[in-house]
Amino acid sequence: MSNHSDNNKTMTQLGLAPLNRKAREMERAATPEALEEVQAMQTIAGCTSSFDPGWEVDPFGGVASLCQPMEADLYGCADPCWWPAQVPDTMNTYPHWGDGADRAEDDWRKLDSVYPGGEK
Amino acid sequence: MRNPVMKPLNLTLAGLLALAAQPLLVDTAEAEEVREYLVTMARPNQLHVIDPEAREIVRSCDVEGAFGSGTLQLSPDERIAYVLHNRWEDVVGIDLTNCEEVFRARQSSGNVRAKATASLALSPDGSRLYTVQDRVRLHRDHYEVLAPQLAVYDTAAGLDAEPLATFPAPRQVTTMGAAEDGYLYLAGADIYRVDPQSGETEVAIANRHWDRPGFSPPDSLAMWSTGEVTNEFLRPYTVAEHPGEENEAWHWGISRVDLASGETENKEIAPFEFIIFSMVSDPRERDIFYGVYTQLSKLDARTREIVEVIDLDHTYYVINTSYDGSRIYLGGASSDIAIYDDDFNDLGRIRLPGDMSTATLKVARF
Repeated sequence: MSNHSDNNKTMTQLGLAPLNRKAREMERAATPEALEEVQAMQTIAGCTSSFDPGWEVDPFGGVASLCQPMEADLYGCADPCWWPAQVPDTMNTYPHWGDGADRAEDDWRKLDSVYPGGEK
Repeated sequence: MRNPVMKPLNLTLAGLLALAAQPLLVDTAEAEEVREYLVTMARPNQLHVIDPEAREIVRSCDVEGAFGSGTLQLSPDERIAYVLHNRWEDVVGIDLTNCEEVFRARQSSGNVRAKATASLALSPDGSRLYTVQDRVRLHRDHYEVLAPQLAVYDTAAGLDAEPLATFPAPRQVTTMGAAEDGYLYLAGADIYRVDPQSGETEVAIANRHWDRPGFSPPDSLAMWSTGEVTNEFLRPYTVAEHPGEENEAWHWGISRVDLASGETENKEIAPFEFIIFSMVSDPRERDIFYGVYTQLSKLDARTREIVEVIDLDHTYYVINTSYDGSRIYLGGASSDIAIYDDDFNDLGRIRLPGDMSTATLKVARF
C-alpha cells in the first residue's frame, strides 16, 4: 500500500530526518532517479516473495501504525516470512529458531543470531 | 423419555399439557448446557479451548508437529477443529472434547513441498475439507515452483488422508469459505467461486480486476478464517477514490459472500484512518463491522462512519464476536486474548503459554 503522489518526494520532504549513518545513506539513495534501481532490486529472498529491506513504514508513510510492540508481531511476521531480512528463514533453513521461546514478549532474549551452516 | 414424576398422573387435560410441554423443557435444558468456547492455536503446538465467561483455558491439546499457521475451521457440530499445522503443511482434525486426533493430511510428499497460505475450508455438511496447496519441488540445487492446486479431502479418511481430487487453482489464494450451495469461495487477487466437483472457477467478486472508474485498485489482507458466527466470508480492503487528485479520499471497504444464500457484495463502509487486519460483522446488524489491529474499531456501513475506536495495549490480528453479539474477542499475534463488550468496555484477558502468531480465533458451541 503506498501513496503514489509521494513517490517522488525525498524523505526530508516527507518529514523524515535521518538520525544515523545508515539512515543518511538511505536518504541519499532515495532520490527520484534511484527509484527504478530500487524496484529492480525487488526479488525473492529466502522463503518469501515479499521484500522488506529492514525499514518498514506504514501505509501513511510513518511508523505509528506498525504493529506494537514489535514483540507482539514477531512470530506473526517471521512465520510467514514477512521479514526475510530481519529474522532467520524459519520455513527453510532455520526452522527451529524460535524453539523454547514461545512467548516473544517474555522470551525475546532467547532469540539468537544465526550463522551459515549452523542450524541451532 | 417419560419423566418418572409424571407416571402417577392420569391423562387429564393438565397431564396432557404437561406431557406436551416436555420436549420443549428438554430442549431448553439441553440448550442451557451448550456453552460458548473460544478455540485457537498457540506456540509451541497447542490447540486451546477457552471458556470466555470464566476467562480460563479448559483444555489444551498437544498437536504433533510444529506450529503454523494455526488457521482453523470447525466441523458443523463445532466439536472438531481442523487446523493448518506443521509449518503450514499438515491439516489436523482434533476433537475439542477430548483432544483426540481424528484426521491428518500431510500435504507434502517426496520432494514436493506443499504449504497452504491459510487456505482451509470445510463443506457445510463437514464431509469434505479443502485446501489450496502452494507447491515447490525441492531439487538438490534449485527449487522448482509448481502450479498451485485445490485439494479435496474426505474428512472420514482418518490419519493418513490423501486427496480425493485435485484441480488447478489460482495463485495468491489465502482464506477460503464453503457455502451452503456447494460452492467454494477463495480470496485471491479477486474473490473466486469454485465448483469443487469440477474445479470450474469464475470470479465472484472482482477486486484486482474490478472496473470502477475513479477508484484505485483495492489493497487487502485475508489471513484469518473467521465468519462462522454470521455465516459469511468477508475480506476488508482499502481503496483510494479519485487517486492523485485534489479530492482524493481513502476508504475501508468489504467484499462479502453470504454463505447461506451465495449473495455477494462489495462496497465502501468507512473512512480509512487506521489499519485493520481482520474484520467481522455484528451478528445483530450485518452492516456494523468490528475491526482490529492496534486499535479496536466499530464501523457503520449505513452511514459510512467510524462509530467508535479505541487504542489497544498491543496489536491483535484476529477478531470475532459471541453469537449474541454482546462480546468481542481479540486474538492472534501475542499470547493473550482480550475480551470487550460491544461498547468497548474491557472485560479482561486470558493469557496463553505461547504466541498465537497467525492463528485463527474461532467461537465454538458444544
